[in-house]
Amino acid sequence: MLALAFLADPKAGRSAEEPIAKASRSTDGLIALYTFDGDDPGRVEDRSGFGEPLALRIDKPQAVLRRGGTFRITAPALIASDGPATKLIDAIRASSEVTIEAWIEPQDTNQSGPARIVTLSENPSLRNLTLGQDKTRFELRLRSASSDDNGIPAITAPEGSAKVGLTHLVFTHAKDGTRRILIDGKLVTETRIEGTLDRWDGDHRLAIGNELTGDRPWHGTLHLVAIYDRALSDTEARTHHAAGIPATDLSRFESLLPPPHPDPVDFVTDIQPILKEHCYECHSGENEDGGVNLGIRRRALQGGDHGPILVPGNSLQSRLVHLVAAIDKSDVMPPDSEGLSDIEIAKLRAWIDRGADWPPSADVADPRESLAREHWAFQPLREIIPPATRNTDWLLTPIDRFVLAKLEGAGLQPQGRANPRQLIRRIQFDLIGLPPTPEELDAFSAAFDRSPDAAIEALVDRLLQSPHHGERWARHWLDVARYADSDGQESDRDRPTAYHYRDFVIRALCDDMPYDQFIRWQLAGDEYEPQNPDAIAATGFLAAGPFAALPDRLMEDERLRNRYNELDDIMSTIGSGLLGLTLGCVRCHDHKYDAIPARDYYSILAAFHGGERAEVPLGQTADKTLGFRDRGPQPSPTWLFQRGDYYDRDQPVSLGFVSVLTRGKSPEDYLREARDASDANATSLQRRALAHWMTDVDHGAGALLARVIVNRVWQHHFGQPLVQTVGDFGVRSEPPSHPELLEWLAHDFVSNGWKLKRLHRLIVRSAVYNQRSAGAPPAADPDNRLLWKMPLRRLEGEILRDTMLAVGGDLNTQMFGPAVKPQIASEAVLARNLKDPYPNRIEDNDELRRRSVYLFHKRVVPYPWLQAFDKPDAQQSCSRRDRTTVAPQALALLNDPFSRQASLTFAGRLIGECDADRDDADLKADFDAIVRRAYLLALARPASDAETAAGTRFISDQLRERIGRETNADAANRSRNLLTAVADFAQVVFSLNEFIYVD
Amino acid sequence: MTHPNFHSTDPHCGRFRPVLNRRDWLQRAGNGIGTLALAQLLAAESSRANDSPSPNAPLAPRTGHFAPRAKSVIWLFMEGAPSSVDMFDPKPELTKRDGQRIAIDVFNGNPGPLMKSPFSFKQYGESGAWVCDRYTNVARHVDDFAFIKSLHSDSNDHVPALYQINTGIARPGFPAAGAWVTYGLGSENQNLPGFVVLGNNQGIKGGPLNWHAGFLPAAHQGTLFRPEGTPILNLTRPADVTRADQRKQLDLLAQLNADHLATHPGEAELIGRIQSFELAYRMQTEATRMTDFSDETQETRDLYGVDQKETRSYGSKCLLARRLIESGVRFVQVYSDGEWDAHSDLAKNHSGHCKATDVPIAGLLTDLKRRGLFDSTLVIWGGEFGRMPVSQGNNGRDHNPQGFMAWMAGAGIRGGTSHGETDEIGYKAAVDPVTVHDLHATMLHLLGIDHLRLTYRHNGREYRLTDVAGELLTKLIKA
Repeated sequence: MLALAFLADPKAGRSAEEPIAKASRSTDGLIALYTFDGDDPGRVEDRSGFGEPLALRIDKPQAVLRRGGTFRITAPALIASDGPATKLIDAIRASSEVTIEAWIEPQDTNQSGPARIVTLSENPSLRNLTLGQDKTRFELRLRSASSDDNGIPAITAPEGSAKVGLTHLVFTHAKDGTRRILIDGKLVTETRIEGTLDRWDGDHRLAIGNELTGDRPWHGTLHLVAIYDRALSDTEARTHHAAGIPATDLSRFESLLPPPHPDPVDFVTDIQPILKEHCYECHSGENEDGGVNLGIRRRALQGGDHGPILVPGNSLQSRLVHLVAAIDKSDVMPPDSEGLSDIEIAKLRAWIDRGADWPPSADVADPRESLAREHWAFQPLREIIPPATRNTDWLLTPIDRFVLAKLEGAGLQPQGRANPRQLIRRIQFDLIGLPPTPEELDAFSAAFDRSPDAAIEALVDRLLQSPHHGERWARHWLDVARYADSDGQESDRDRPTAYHYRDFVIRALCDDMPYDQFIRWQLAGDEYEPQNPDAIAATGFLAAGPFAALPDRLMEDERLRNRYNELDDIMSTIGSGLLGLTLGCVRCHDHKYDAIPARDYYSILAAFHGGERAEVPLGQTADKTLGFRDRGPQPSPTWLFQRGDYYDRDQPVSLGFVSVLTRGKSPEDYLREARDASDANATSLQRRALAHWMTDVDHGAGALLARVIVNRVWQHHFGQPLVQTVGDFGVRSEPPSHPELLEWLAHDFVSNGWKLKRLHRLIVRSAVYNQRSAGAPPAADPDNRLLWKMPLRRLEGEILRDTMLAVGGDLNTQMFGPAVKPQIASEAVLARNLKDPYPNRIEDNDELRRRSVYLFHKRVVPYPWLQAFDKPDAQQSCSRRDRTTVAPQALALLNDPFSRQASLTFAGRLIGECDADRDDADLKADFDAIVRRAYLLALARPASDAETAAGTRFISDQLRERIGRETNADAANRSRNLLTAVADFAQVVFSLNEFIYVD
Repeated sequence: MTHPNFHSTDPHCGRFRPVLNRRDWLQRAGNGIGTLALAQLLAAESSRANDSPSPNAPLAPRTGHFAPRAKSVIWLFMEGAPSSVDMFDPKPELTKRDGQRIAIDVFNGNPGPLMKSPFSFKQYGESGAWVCDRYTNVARHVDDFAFIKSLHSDSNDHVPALYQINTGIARPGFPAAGAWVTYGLGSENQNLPGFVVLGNNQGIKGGPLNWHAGFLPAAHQGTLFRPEGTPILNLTRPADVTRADQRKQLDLLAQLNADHLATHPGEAELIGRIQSFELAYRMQTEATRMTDFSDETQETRDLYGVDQKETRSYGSKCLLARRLIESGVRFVQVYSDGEWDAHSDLAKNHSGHCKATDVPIAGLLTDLKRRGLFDSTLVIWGGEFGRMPVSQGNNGRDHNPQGFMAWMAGAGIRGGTSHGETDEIGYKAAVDPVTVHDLHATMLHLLGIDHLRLTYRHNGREYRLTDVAGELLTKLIKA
C-alpha cells in the first residue's frame, strides 16, 4: 500500500517548467488530510501532519470498497472521529477561515438530505459545518455568528453541479465572509455571509459519508478530503484540480518503474499489440470501462472517469503506466493480473515520453473485427519448417521435432519407446478399438525384435485396412454429429433408417474418403451426387439432431419455436462441430468476441431454411434413409431475427457465410459455381455453395476446417488435444499448446488431399506417440501438456464393452445395418407417452454381441451401461467426452447382467481353452493356465508368478466356497461351480485398472 | 496476459468461478443496481474456499459462494400443471365473469368461456392466505409459505415446459437444477447419489432429460429412486454372486490395482477408480436401507398417510424424501402420480390429486419441523406451468405458461409472504412477473450459491442454470 506524501515545497528539485511542479498541492494551513490509503480496513488515517492525527473509524468496513486510494461507500456506515475534532475546531475558531476540499465521485444524483459528504456536527440539526449533496447540487452549511446552529442559511452550488463522475470540490470561507464554491477549478458560487466562526461547538466530531446519527448516508467514492484553516485562493483551487487525485502524484515512484526503452518505438508495431492483447477487451469499441477507450487516439487522450490516463511527454505522470506496472498492488491493470512485463512497460514509457505519437490511421473503432481478422485460427494456412532440436536420435517424424523443441525449451526429456506389448495394445485400441490376440501379440513382438520401425509400419498398415478401423473412428465422429436412432423430445419416435448415415460414416472412414468431400457430402451430398446412395445417406448429418413433430393444430408460436430450435441445432452443430465456432450464440446477438454478426448466422441458416429432414430414397435403390432435402429449387425467404424473435421479419437476408472467414469471393460467386456445376433442378444448391465455401482453403473456411479436424484426430490419439477448446477455435479459445505443430499438421493434411489415414500414420509412427506412458511428473509440466510421456488413456464405454466381448471370444463382428436395441432393465425405462416405447423384453440373440457402434441409441431411453461410462447423450454436438470416475461405473461392472454374462463367457472360454473341465483335472496346473491365459487375452501380457499365484488361489478358494454351499455335489454342479468361480476371477480382470487404462 | 475469468486451464472440465468479468460487474455497479451486491460479491470472492469438483470425487461436499441458508432441497413436483386459481389464488373477478367469452389463444385451440373455480376457498393462518377446500391439511402450514403468484414461462407444451422448469431452458439436453446444485456443492453422503428423483408410476413426460446432467459431468445426473424394492439400477448383485463372493472379488481387485498403481506414479485417476469400487460396495447397503421403513414408527407412517390407499404412493415418496435429505442427500424431487393435466373435469382431476398429496405434504412439513430439518431444507411446490382461466370442453382447463404459481417453504424463506400477481382473471402474470430463472436464482442463493458465478464451459461458452438472466426474489428471503 502506498504511503502518500506531498512535497513540502512544490518546486523542490524541479524546474518550474515541469508539469509536475505546476500541479502540486499546497500544505500551508492544512489541518486535516484524508487520502484513503493505509492498511487498516477499519480506519481512515489523517495524513496532514498537523497536530494530533485525527483518524476516522469505520463502523462497518464491509460497507466500504477500498482499492488503493479510492474509497467507495456502497452501504450506509458511520465513518467518524472517535472524539471531538478539537484540533480542527480550535484552529478554525482562531482563524475564522476554513477551506474544505474533496475529490469525489457521487454514485447517483438521487441522494438527498443533503447526503453528508463531510460533516463536523452532532446530529441532523446541530453542526459546525456540513458539505453535502442534494440530488444534482452540492450544499454547504456553516455555523457562524450570523447563522443558526443548523448552519442555515446554506449556500449551494447550481443545479447540475453534482453529477455522477469524478468531481473536484472546493469550498472556502474567508474572514470577510466571502464564501466560494469551485468545482473542477471553476468558480460556480460566490456569496458573502459575514460573521466570525467563534460560535463553533467544541464537542462536534468529524464524519464522512453520513451524519453522526447515521441517517443521512451518502453513496459514492472519495479520493481525497482536505481541510484548511484558511481560505484557499482560486489559483490554489485550480492548481489542486490540475494536480488531480493523489494517484497522479506517484511520480516519486520512478525507481519502481522499468526505465523507458532506449530503442525507437513505433505505435503500430510496438505499442498497439500490447494494448490489443491486454486492454482492448474492456477498453475499446463499445466497451469503455471506467470511461476509458484505448482504441482511438482522441478518446485515449481524453482519459476516463478518474481523469487523464495518458500525459504525452510524461510517462511518470501517466496513470496508465502506474496501473500496468502494478505500483499499487490493489489497483492493477489488467484486473487480477500482476501487470505487464517490464519490457512492455519500458516500451509504453518510451512511447509516452517521446510524445505518444499515434497515427490517426491506426485507430481501432471495432476491436472485435480487428481481433478476429488477426486471430491465428482465422488465417490462411502457412507452411511451417519443423524446428531443429539438440537431440536428434529420438526423432522419427517431423512431428517429433515440434514436440521435442518445446520439451528442450522447458528443460524436459521425452521418454523412450514403450515395449512391444504396450505398443501393440495402444495402437490396436487407437486404430480399431479392439485388443490384440495372443497370436498377434507374439507375431508383433517377434517382428519388433527384428525391426521396431518396420513392425510398427506393418501393424499400422494392417489396422488401417481393417474394417474395424472405420467402426472405431466413426464412433468419434458420431459424437460430433450428435447421432442417435430416435427423435428424442416427447414422443421419441424411432428412426429405423437413420443407420444409413452411420454406415456412410464407417464406410467413408474405411475408404479414406478425403475429409473435405466427407464434409461436403454431409452438408449437400444430394446436391453433389443425387444418384449416389452414400452421398444421400451423408445428409443424415443434418437430420441427426433431436426433433419434435408438432401437430398443425398447435399454436403457431409453439410450432415456430420448435422449427427454429431445429434449425439452431444444425447451426450449432456445424459451428462447433466443423468450424470450431460457437455459432449458436449468434442466434440472439452479434457474437460478443468473434466478430460474427447475427447477420452471418441467419445468412448461413438461409441454406437450410428451405429444406427439411425427410425419408429420402437412397439413389436408385428401394431403400430410404433419414436425410435432408430442399422442398424445392427456390430459396425460402429468410430474415434476421433480432434477439432470436421469430416474429421479427423486417430484415430479409440471402445466403451468406461467416464474413471474417471469407476472402475475395462472394456468396453469389459460390452459388453461381454451384449452379454451373450441377444440373439438379429439385434443389436450391445453397447447401452446395455453403459446402464449397466450408472446404475452400483459399477463399473460404477450409483452413479453419482443417485445423479443427486435425486437432480432433490428435485428441483421440493422445487423449488430449493441442487446442483444449476442441469445439471452439474463436478468439476466446485456448491457444494451442503447440501452435506450429498444429499448423504444420493442417497444412500437410490439406496439401496431401485431406487424407485422414495419412494423418493417423504420421502420428502413430512418431516418437512422441511411441513413448512410454509412465514417469514421475516433472514440476515444469505436471499436466503433461508438453507430452514428455504418452498420456495414460482410458477406454470409452463402447470400447470397454467391445473388449469384454472380444476377450470372451463372443464378439459378433457383423458390420452395418439397422441398429440393435440392447437389453435394458425395465426399471431403467423411465419415460412414458413415447410413440415408440422401448421393448419390455428382448430375447438373447447374437446381435446383442455386436460392436457398440451398432447399438440403438434411443435418446429418451439411453442404454444405462454405456451412459454410466460417459457416453454423450446426443442432444448436442459433443467435442470432448467427460471422463468421470464414479461408483455407478463400478456397480455396472459388478452387478449389471451384461458384465456378469460377459465374465461367464470369458470364463467358459478360459476353461475350454485350458481343458480344465475334466474329472481328472489337475486343478492347480489348470488354474495356473487359466490365469496366464486370461492375462494374455485381456491385458496383452504374461502374468507374473505372483499374479498367477494370487489368481490361482482366488479361483481355488471360490470353487471350494461355491461347492461347499451346494447340498448335492454332482458332476454338473462341479462344472457350474467351476464356471462361476472362474467367472468371479474374470470379472475381477474386467474391473482392473490395467484393463480399462491403456499404457 | 490472459484474463482468468475467460481462460481456465482446462475449459473442458469447467470451473466453479465467476462468469462475470470485472467489466461486467463494474458496469452493473455503475448502473446503480446492486452496489451492495458488489460488496457482497467481493467479500464472497475472498472467502470462497474449495471450488473445483474433482473428476475423482465429483460429489465431495464443497462450500458455496457464501453461507447457505438451506443445505438441501425437496421439490414437490406437481406434474401436469395444477391450476393456480383453483388451488391458492382465487379470483373474484373470474367468478363474477363466469361464462363470459374473451379473446384468447390456447394450446389445443377452441377456447371456452371464462370458468369460475369449482372449489370454495377459505383464508388460513395469520397471513390469511387463501387455500381451496381440497387442501385443508397443507393449509395449516401457509404461514410458512412464500407464494410466487406471477410465474411465467415460454412453452405451452408439457415437455418443453418441464425442461424449462427443471433446466432453465425449454429445450432438451441442458443440466437440471439438481445437477447444477451438486456440481456446485457436492453432497453430504458419498454412499448415496447427491440428486435423487422420486418418479411416478407412469413415468415422467420427457423422461430422464428432466434430471439430466446435460454437459455437466455425468456424476451430477439425478438418480431415479423407486420407493419400493431395489431403489436404483445395478444395486442388486447377480444371482450367482453372494455378498461374500463380491467382497473377495474386491479384495483381489484392490491388491492387483495397488500393484498397477505402483508402476504409474502421479496418476490420481487410478486412485479415484480404486475408491469407486469400495464406494459402490457400500452404496448397495446404504441405498437399500433408505427404502426400508421398518425403523419408522406407525405414528410417522400415519402422518404421511403411508398406509392409506389414496396417499400410499405420494406419502411413501415424501417419507423417503425426508429419509434421504436426513442422510445427507442434497436435492430430492418428488413427482406426483398421474397428471394434474385437467383438460376435462378439472374438479374431479384436481380433487383426486389433492387427496393424494394433501396429507403427505402436510405430514412432510410437520415431520421436517419436529425433526429440526425445516430450517435447513428448502421445500418447493409447483408444476411445469398453470392452467387457463377459460374452460376447455365443458369443465376442463387448457395449458397456461403465462401466469402460474409455486410456493417455497423452509430454510431461509420468509413465511406468510407472497410475491407478484396475475391479472384479475388469473391469465397472465401482471404484477412483478417472475421467470423460471428468478426461481432458480433464488433457490441457488438460499443454498449459498451466486447463480451468476456457477458456470460451466461447454462448446465455447460459459453456461449457467440461469442462462443470461435471473433476479433474486429478495422479498421471499428471510432477513
